[in-house]
Amino acid sequence: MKRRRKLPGEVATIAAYGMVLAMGVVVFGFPLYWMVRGSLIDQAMWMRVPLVWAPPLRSLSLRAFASIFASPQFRMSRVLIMGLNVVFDCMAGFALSKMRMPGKRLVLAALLITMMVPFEGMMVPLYLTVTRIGLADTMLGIILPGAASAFSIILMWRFFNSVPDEMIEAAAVDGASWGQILFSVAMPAAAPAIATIAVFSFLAGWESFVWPMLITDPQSTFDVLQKVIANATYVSMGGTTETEWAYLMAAALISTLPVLALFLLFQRFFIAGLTAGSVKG
Amino acid sequence: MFLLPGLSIIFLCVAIPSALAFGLSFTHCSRFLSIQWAGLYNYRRLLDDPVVLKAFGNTVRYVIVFVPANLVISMAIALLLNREFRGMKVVRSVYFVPVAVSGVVAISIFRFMFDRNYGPINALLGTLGFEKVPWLWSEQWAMWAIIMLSLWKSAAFFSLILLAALQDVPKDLQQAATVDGAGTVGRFVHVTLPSIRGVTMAVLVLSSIGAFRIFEPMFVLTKGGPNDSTQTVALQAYDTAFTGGELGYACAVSFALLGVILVATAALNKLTARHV
Repeated sequence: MKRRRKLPGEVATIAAYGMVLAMGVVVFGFPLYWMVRGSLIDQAMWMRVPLVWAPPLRSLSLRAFASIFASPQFRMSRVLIMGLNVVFDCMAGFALSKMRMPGKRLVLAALLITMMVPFEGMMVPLYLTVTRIGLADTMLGIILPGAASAFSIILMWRFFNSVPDEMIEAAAVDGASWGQILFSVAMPAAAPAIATIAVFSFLAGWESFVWPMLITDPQSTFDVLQKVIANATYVSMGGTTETEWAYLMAAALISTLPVLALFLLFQRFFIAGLTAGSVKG
Repeated sequence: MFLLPGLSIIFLCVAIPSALAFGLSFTHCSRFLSIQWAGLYNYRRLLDDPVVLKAFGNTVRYVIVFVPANLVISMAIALLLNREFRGMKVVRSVYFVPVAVSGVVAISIFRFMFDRNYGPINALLGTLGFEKVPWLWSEQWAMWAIIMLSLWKSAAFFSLILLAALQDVPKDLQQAATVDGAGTVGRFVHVTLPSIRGVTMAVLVLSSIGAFRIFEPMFVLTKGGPNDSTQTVALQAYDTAFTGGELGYACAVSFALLGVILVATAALNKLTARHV
């Protein structure tokens, strides 16, 4: 097709559109630039007045990153949450969908109800419960409440429902145990759904802030990022804190990168999960 | 049994605590777990507790500004991004990056964006010839700063959902409307909006539920200050429980909030069902 010459009015519209679009890019992108900039400069540069929008290259350093990566047990708890979630939720979803047992409907209804209680509402008793069973200030205490999710169980249940029963029966006739059926027949068939719940549980675990803070001692070393962010962000009336700001921004950047990579790679599953959620609502 | 691990975790960490919370809201329960039946005392007390009422006021104020602004901005962005040309994928990614930034990280970035002495926002205002604004440090501006940072994060999230919905709107419907002489605005109101009604509703409901429960930015940045100007209900419940040690009362405050959310959601459902 031959390209038509654009009329002046059209050109103006396109230019205006482009400008608005570019403005949005600046508004949405700038805070991220500020985070990267902030993680690389030292405190003196932070406090420079008037402000230096683009600090010179030789004033940048990776000091803040080095000191954060030097700490042990970096962010294990958050990754474990995802692993446990995938296994437990698949098991439960599979059992609810394919195994014969009484009271299935009741269990599903109960799961739906638990999804409606907001976290703040049960924060206090959850704290009491977890403390009572002796898990305060342990890594298991951080992990446990996040290790299974009603939302994901229901998602898996729905997905396993669409896996044909014949497939399961054929495997059973061949003498496979339930465990073998789940791990080598049903789960491979459910790969997209598993990717969705993996992404979601990873995000939920990685981003949770209030719960880990509540259940662990503020000075414990289970989670360096958590500690840095919690210590340095509060706006005290004086305005400055002892922690160097670069550490805070480096911690923020480190905790963003895996999620960002995941998000850009798996946008498809991410959106699938969102729509699954909105159908429920 | 396959069900056991998943269900027992949910039972232990969701079902028991929620039931316990509801029960505790009718008791005087202190940090030391001395439980005493209180009946409706806690609920009556919060009705004339000035701090709790102020927290409810702040929360409602936040919701009233945040929810409509969020819808308008997300919709505008979704429409803006709903075109195809080379490079659009990259542009979209920039707009959606805040989705991948966790709440606390967004909060810590904006703590510096809004810094009164060294923040870029004030620097920009200064360059444009305005007075510097003491954002998070002032009673008048702290809530606005928090609203802006919440919008940055959630507009990206909700425009992602809206864009997904917009892309499902049939192209021939649009073309038919154009042939019939509908302008850009007419097409949006009569064709686009009705076809994405369900998702728009979901956005409204989800964002208002989230807004009522607003907690993290205040918890991390201002602890409700200055002078209680950013004290919200969820934060108040947290303070009552973990600083004040009045667990029973804290549970009552949470359940009052839950009640408000339920009523607001139902009202919203009714209102939009009638009008659209």
